[in-house]
Amino acid sequence: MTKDITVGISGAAGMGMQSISFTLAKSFLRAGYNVFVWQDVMSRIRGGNNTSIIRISTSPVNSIKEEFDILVALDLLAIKRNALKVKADGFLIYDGEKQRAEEPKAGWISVPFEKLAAEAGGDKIMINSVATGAVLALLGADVITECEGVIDELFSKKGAEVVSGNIKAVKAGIAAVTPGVSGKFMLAPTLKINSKNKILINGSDALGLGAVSAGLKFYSGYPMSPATSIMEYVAAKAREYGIVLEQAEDEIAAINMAIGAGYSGVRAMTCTSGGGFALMIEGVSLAGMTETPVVIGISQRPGPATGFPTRTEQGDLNMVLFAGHGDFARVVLAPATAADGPLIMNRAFNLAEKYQVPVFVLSDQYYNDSSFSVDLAEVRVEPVNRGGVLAEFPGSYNYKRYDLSAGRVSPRLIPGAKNQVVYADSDEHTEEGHITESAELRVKMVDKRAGKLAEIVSDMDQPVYFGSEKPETVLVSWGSSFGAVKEAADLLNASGKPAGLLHFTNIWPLPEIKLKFNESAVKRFICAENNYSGQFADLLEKNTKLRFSRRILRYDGHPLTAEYIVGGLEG
Amino acid sequence: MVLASAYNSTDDNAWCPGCGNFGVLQALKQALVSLNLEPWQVIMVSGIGQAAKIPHYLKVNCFNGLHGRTMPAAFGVKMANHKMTVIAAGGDGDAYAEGGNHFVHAMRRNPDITYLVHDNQIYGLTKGQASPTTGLGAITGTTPFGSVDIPESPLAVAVAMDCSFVARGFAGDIEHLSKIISAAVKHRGFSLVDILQPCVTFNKINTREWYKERVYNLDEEADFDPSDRVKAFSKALEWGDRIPTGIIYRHERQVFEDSVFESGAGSLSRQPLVPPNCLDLMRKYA
Repeated sequence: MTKDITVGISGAAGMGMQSISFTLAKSFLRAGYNVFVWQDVMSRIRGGNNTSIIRISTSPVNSIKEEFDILVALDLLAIKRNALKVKADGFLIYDGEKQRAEEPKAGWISVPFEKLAAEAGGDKIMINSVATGAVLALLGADVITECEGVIDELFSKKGAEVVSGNIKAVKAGIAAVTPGVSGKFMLAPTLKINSKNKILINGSDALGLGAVSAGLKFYSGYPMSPATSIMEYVAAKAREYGIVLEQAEDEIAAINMAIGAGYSGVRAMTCTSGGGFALMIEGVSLAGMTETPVVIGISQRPGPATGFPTRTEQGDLNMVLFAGHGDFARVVLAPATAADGPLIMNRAFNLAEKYQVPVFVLSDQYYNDSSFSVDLAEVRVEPVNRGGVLAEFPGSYNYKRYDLSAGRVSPRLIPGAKNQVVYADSDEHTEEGHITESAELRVKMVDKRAGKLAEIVSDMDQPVYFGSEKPETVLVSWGSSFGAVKEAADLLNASGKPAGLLHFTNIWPLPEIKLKFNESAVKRFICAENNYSGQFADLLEKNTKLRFSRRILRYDGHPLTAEYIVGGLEG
Repeated sequence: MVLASAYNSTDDNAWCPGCGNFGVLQALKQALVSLNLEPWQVIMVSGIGQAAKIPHYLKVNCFNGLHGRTMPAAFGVKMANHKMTVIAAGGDGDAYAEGGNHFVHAMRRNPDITYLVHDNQIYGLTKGQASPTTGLGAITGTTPFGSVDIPESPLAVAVAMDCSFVARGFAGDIEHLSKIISAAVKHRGFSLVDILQPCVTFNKINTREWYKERVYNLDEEADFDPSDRVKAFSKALEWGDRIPTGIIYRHERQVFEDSVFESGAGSLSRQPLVPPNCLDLMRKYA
C-alpha cells in the first residue's frame, strides 16, 4: 500500500497536461485524499515541454517530490526530458504506437492513447482521458465515480456525447493497463468523509479571493506572469462585487491608479512580478510619503531582468524590503499555503488602512500556480478593520490630513466630506498637506512616517513552530517554502533526529521572536529558502537573535522539496 | 451661490512675479464659481512642476502626486469618487514627456476628468531645459546648440486619439480661458485644455507679447465646427503666425464610468464596506 504518490504529466504546451492533473486531483480530493499540483512550464504558448506534477497522499501535503512514481509522457520530448526522473520502481506511460524513440525500458507501459481515444469518443482530444484512466489503473483506486463527476462538470457544456466519450476513454485507459501491473501503486484507502469541507484551489485564486473578501474595490494592473492570474480572478468577480478593475498601460500607472483610489477612500490593490515591481517603486515611496493605504501583491519569479519567466524563486524579498527612496514604514506578508492566502490578504488591507502604509503580499510562481487541497475548517479570516478612517469631520475647512497632535497615524478623512478638503502631497508637507521648506517640520514628518514601524510591530504575528519540543535541528523558512520545509522537519523526526520548523508569514516588521521550544538541545538553526543568497536569513540575523549555521538555498527555478533540504543538511 | 473668496488658499505662493500661472489660477477660480461648485466638491490631482502647485493655491481637495503620474492617480481618484468633479493639472513636461504614455491612455479610457496643461514650452522649476513643446532650434540649458527634436503637437495627438474634448486657452486671456475651463468641466468625458502660459523667467521666445500677436479666438470663425474631426485635426496643427484658441474638437462617446457604475449609483468611497464572505467564495472550489 502506498500512502504518498507523485505523478508527472508531461507534454508540449497545449496538449492538456493541466486538464489531466486537474481531473486526477479533483477526483482524489473528493475521494478523501490530500492532493497538491505544481506546474513546471516553459515560457511559450505551444510546443516545448511542460509538466504538471500531482502528488496524492493520505496526509496533508503542500509540496512536491523530486522524482515521479508515475510519468505520463504525451510526446517524445516528454520522455527525453523526464524519463530519468522516474523512480527505479516507477512507471512511464506513453503511446508506443506514436512515440517510437528508443527501446522501451523496464517499467515503460505503452498505452495507445490516440487509438483508444478515437475508439472511445471518435476524437483525438480525448487522449487526456485515456491517460487519466491509465494512471487510475496503476493506483488501483476506486475513484471512478468521483472521476465521472469531475468529467461531467468539465464537459457538460459541450454536450452529453462529449461527457460519455470522455468517460469511455477513461475506462479504456484503465483497461489498457495489464492486470499484472494494474494496482502496482495501490493507494492506501481513505474515507470519503475526509473530503467534507475540502476544496482544491490555487494560490492566485486564494489571494484574489482574499482581497475580494477584504472589500477590495479598485484593482489596477499590467499583465505579468505569474501575477496575471490574480488579476483575472478579480476581473471575473468585478461586476458581481462592485469592483472597478482596469488594465493599466504599465506598472507605473497601475500603482499610481491604486494610490489615487486609496487616497480617495477605497481599498485598492495592484499585483505584479519583480520586473513590473521595478517600475512601481517610485509609487511605493509616493504611498509612503502621502501615507496612502495600498496593497501590492508581488508574485516572484527568478530574475534578474526577464529571468526565468515561468519558474519560481523567492528572490525579491530584498527588493520589496528596500524599494523606494527615503525612510518610511511598510509591511511585508508572505502566505504559506492557499489556506492562509485569504487571511494574509485580509490582514494586508487592514494593516494598510490602520497604519496608512503600503503593504506587500509576497508570493511566487510555486504559490500562485499550485493547486492546494484546503480544509475549510482550518481557514481563518480577519474582519474588516479600517483604522481611523472618517467620512465626515466637524467644523469648516479645519481638517489637517497630517495632524501631528494625533500621533504617528493621523485620522484619515475621505475627500468629499462636506465643508472640508483633504490635501495629500508628495512633497514634504505641513500638517494641512501643503508644500513646506521647514527643517523642523521635515524632521517631525519623517519621524511620523518612519516611526509607525514601532507601532506596527505590535500587530505582527509570531512565527509558527511545528515539530519536536526539544529539537536539535531547527529549520527556518518563510512564505511558500512552508510545505517543503515542514516535510523535511517531519522526515528528520521520523528518522529519530529531533527537529522542528520555525515558519514566518509575517515578514516585516519583525516582532521580538519568542521561541516556543526548549532551546537547550538545539545544535543548529538552518534557514531554507528559494534564492541564491539567503535574503530572509540576512534579515533575521540583522534584526533578531537568530543565527544560522547553514543556509539551504535553491535558485534553479524549481521549488524547494523535502529531499533537497534533507540532502542539503547532509552535504 | 459660491463666492470666489471661498476658494482662497492660505498657502504661500511660490510662483515668479508675473508668471502666466496666475492667469490660469484666476480663470480656474472663476470657472469653479460659475459652475457653482463648493471647494469640498472638487478634487484636484497634480504632478510635479510649478504648474502642478496650483491646487495648493486654491482651497480644494488635492492629491499632489508624482511628476508625470497625474493621469493614473486622477483615474484612481475618479473611480472612487465618480460623483465628484475631478480636475487634473500640470505642465508640458509633466503631461507630455514623463506622463506621455499615461496621457495617451487616459484619452482612450475617457473618464470624466478635465486636464489643464500649463504649456510654457520650457521646464521652469528645474530652471530652463527643453520640453516636448519647445520650438525647433530653441537654445535652453540642455540644448545649448538649439533644440533638434521637433515639438509635439499635443492637440493633434489628442484629436488623433479621439479625445472627447480638446481645447486651447491662453493664460493672457482670463475671460476666454475661464469659459473654456467651464465648458471642459461640464463636458462628460476626458477634456484636455492645453494652456499657452508665458514663462517670464526662462522662455524669452514665447513671451506674453509673442502669444498675443498670434492667438485668435475660434468663436470668431463662423464656419468652424468642432465636431468635425478632420477639420479639428488641421486646426490642431495650426501653429505659427496664427494660433487658434477655443474648443477645437468636441464629441460625445462612452464615458469610462458608465461601463462600471449603474446610473444613479453613488461614489464607491461613500458606500459602506460589506465584503462577501470568504468561506462562501471558497466553497465554490469543492
